[in-house]
Amino acid sequence: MLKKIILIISSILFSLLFYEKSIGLNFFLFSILVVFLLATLHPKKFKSKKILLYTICYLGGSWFVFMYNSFLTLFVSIVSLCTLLGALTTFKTSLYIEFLNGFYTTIAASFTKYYHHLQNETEAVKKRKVNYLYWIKTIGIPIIIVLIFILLYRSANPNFSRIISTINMNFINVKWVTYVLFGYFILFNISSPQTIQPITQIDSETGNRLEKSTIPVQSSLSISQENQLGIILLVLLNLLIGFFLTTDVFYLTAIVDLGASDLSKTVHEGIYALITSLIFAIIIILYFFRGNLNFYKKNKHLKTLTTIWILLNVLLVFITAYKNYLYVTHHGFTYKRIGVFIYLFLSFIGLITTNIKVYAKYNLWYLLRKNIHIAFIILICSSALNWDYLITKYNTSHAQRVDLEYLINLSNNNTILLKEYVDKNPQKVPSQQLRKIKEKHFTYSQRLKTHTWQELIYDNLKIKQ
Amino acid sequence: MNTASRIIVTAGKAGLLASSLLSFALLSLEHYNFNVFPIFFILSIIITFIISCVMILFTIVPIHEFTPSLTDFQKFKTYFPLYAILFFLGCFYFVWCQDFDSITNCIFIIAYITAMQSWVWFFRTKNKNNETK
Repeated sequence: MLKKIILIISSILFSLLFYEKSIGLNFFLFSILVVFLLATLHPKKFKSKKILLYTICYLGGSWFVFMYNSFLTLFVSIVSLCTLLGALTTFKTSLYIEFLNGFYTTIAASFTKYYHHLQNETEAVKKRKVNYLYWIKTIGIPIIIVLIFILLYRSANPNFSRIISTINMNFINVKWVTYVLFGYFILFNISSPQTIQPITQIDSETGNRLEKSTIPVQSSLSISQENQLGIILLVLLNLLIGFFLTTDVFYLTAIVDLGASDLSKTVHEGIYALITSLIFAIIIILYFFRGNLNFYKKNKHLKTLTTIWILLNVLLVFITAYKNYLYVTHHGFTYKRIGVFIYLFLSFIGLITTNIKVYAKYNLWYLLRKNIHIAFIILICSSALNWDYLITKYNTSHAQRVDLEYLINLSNNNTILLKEYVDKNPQKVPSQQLRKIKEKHFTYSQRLKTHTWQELIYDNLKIKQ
Repeated sequence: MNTASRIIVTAGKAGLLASSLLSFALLSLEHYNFNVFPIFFILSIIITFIISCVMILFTIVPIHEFTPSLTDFQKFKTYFPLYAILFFLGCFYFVWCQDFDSITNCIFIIAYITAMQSWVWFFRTKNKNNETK
């Protein structure tokens, strides 16, 4: 009963925060409400460090929605919420299973719960019907009496009457009721975490280590042949990548003095090939170390060649990062260029974890779990940055060429900064772009002024100052 | 109950649910003409019944028929999460494509709720003691 009352109050608060409102402060307040709800309903689970860490991630993500109001922050906040919900159901599962469980909980927990309720319902329970008369009496009679007293007090005191008449209840309509019901649906789902049974079970039963007993038996001749094949292939691949890196370094020393179009060509056209080659590198290593070769006594050479190949691929990552850096110094940051850096960092982590997998005899699940963990951390950290602001700040102060059109087309997070830039450097900005920036600033300022307290964002406070 | 009657019963309930939700949504319109409500309701029941039949036939029945070794409870437990996630993502994709237009939102929310509830009705078993344990 207490749970239902909390949920009803929370769903009314949900409608108060989101009904006909855009995203802003309301999202952060809603996250506090969700955490309060979960902590009230699952107090024991909130003593775990893991849950507390996920809660901080979720609250942090929601705070950044208020700060930057971007798609990325919103996405990170939702991912964090799903992970938190998933962690509440099972403690010893991988992050991606926690996310899937949380996502499933958010969208369909009420249906699962209802189905279980129907399945477990016995005839005895069925007969225990709700006492509607009791509820009508408990809720109806106090409301009627309170209304009668309000009418009496209104006629007795004009001030009281005036205050009562100012209370606007027009917002209560079918649409609002639908919103409350929607809020109830979401909050009910969130408060009743569910698991996706088959995958959760499989994941919790699967360890990180390769077990010799689980690998299909292979003849020693076949293992030896596979080892030889691996050695030949890796020798060839090492020679090839070594040759490629040498030519690339020579090319790079020459390209520093060349125009930006060459750099663009090298970075943009080369990056896709490098992405594919890094993925292939990891796949080839995983193929050879999928089973029996991990336990083969004469695999030392293969392991050494694998490490060399991984190191050369790491060098390739650094060279590509340097090319991207050169391009950034010429043309400034764009989302695509930042994406390249993030991708290269993830590849670097992927190569390192692959090497650990080879030496410590871990399985594929280890690789998946570790890399997803790291990707999750990067995602959380990336939401803490105001990318549009940083791109604009860097490009306007450090880049040799400023692509103002690109900066104008970014979100409103850079509007104030762009306005400051054109105010300080009017001579550097062409008239057409100057007009566009002023228009963007004006439209944004006007929009900020229309924000209600639920829609407030950090820029509202800046404008006031 | 055989599969054919399950489909009819579930589609009937689903049609009624979808029509009720649609009518509730229409009540929120400012200039709604209440005189057309009875005709609209009957028509919407027929249309949603047909759509529900087709949806059940092509999405739920194959799962039911191709897993004869599992009980209804096990089928629900194993495949409902996958169905719910895929169906939600599909609905979300269409709503996204329509730029969160309110009418599209409404239609897909109703479709989602009806599809999920159809699973509950379709796999609900009479002989509870045998199925759940």
